Amino acid sequence: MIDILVNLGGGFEIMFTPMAILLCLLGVFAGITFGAIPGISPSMAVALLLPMTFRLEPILGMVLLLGAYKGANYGGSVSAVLINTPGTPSAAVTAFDGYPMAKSGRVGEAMGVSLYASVIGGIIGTVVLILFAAPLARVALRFWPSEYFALTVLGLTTVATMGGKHWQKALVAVVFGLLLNTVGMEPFAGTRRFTFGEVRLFEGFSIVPAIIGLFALGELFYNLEHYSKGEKFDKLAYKLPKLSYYLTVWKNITRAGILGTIIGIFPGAGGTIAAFISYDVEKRFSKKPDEFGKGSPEGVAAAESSNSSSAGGALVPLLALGIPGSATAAVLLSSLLVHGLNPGPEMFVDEPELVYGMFASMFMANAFILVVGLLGAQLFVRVTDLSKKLLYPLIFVFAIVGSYAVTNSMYPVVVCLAFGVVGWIFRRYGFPTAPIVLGIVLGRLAEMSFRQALMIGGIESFYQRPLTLIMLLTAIAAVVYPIVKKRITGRAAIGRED
Amino acid sequence: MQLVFLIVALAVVWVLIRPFKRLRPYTGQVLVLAGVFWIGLLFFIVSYSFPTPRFAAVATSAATIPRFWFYVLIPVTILALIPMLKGEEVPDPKWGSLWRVAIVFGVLVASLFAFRYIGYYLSSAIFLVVMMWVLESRNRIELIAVPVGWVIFSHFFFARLLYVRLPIGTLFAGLFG
Repeated sequence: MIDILVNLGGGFEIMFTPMAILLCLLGVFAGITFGAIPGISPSMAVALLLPMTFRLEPILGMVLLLGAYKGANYGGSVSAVLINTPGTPSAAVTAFDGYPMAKSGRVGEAMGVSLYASVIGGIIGTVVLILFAAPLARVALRFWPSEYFALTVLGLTTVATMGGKHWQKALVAVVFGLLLNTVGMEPFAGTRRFTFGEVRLFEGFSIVPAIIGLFALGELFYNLEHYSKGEKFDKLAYKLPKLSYYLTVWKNITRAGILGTIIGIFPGAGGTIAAFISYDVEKRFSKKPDEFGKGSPEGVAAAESSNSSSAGGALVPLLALGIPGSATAAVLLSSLLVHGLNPGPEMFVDEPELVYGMFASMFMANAFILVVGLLGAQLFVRVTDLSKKLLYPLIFVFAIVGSYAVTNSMYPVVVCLAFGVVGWIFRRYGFPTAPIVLGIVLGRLAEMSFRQALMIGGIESFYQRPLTLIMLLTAIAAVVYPIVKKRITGRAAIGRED
Repeated sequence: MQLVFLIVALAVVWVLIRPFKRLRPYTGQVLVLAGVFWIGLLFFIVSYSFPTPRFAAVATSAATIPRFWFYVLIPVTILALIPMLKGEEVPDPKWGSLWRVAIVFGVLVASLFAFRYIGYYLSSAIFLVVMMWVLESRNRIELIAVPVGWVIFSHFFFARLLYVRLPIGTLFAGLFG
């Protein structure tokens, strides 16, 4: 512990130089800006800055990239809250409550909660990374496909709370998402599934344009149908709440932050699954679960905190074992390799200045996110002050160019448009769209891990491995418990009436 | 072709539910369910054309998961239908101004087609003007400033800064290419 503190002190010494501070600020600013643009993922934001690091010292390069990574994770929530267009896939969960809050005039509150949750979640992720990087990475690598499958099942159970009163419709939507996810090349033998001769469908539906379509275009088509001239958002409360307000959601932020870090450690799981699961957990813990999906600050806090903390978790296998657990971690790894550095247990011994400098830079990046977020929030929220006759066309073109930017081709744009129509129809008839995203996000991992588990250990692997069994039983309990509780409460109410 | 089949299937479902007075207020919702179910059924049928694995030890094939989701879809669809059959579900909403949605959708599709010929910049500018007009914006300054501002912003931000290769179109390819 003393060693860690001493090394961390050394890391902060490096960080408190003008160049490091400037690069960290630049990275955060660029990250927030890129992250807020739909279609520019954190990995793309980091990759765009990668060439700038080639001439910098390794630590300074990493300071820039980590700032961008952290900034982009927060930036995704800005557009999610303001215009229901998540800048990053993981910010989709933030939109569930952030956008309804903005729509009902609580835009400052929504922006404030997302900012503080993101910063505190980021700090939690960094602390866990510093304290437990090596042992956690080893544990994560011992996970079998059956455990990954159980994790996806746990993720899918979030649909039970997502639909609220319309839980049956939510189930249909999640299965629809899972079915759509089977389109494209099958992950084992490469069999083409449901492509109907269309080459562009070989890769399936990419998640970013699908989310932009479902959330942004779906909402826009719905609003256009009910549009009347001169419409503006309700009277807006731009001001961010006082600091004491955030104490009301500190439990949500902390729990989601810890959960997000743990899920983030699993290579391939990522912030989106973390955000979905944390959102579900917080809804179950909440005293006002009915507010979730309609503008609950707790929902925004959970989604943002877990999303942000998962970034710290994703760095655990990278730094401790040299295994990139996400696309962004892979870009960070390439930056280290360019400078001749090989991440792994030896790096903690051979290059403590670099490792702890990176940790210190993550703390600093969080501080800068708070500063940029607080200053920028007053500006960002003014977007919703635009009249809808200007805002709607601009969201349309943003959505189109954001989708186009994913692969520099028209295919994601077509996907975005198609999902926009689906989103509009679903919204119109009271089918929630979020479960479709859940199905698409979890579908591939569920299939891969399920089939791998069957191949390696047979059906026994699902009940003979204790952790798998615990996670699967938790998933079953997560679905059954609310139903049983509802029935018992219902019977008790009938009993009282009699 | 699959889209045509989907429309035919939805039309058949629509005809079938007309005699049931109880389901009439939920026509749209039933059609959504039918559409999703049709896609699941199509995937299920098509999955029989997938090659079977060569090795007997491989317990699963490309068809396993789509079929599994279809099996899940059957009870889930029935579950969603039950509240409608009981009359407990919220009825379909009334139609709003569909013409506005149709125009915007049509113009959007047309502008996407036009990317190839007149390029992204001109196409998106025209789309913005038309859409603002549809949303009853009649301020000339806005109608000019917003598309021009967007073109300049998208050029510098997306094309220059983010290296997004926005299509310039065959018409302008000669001029700029």
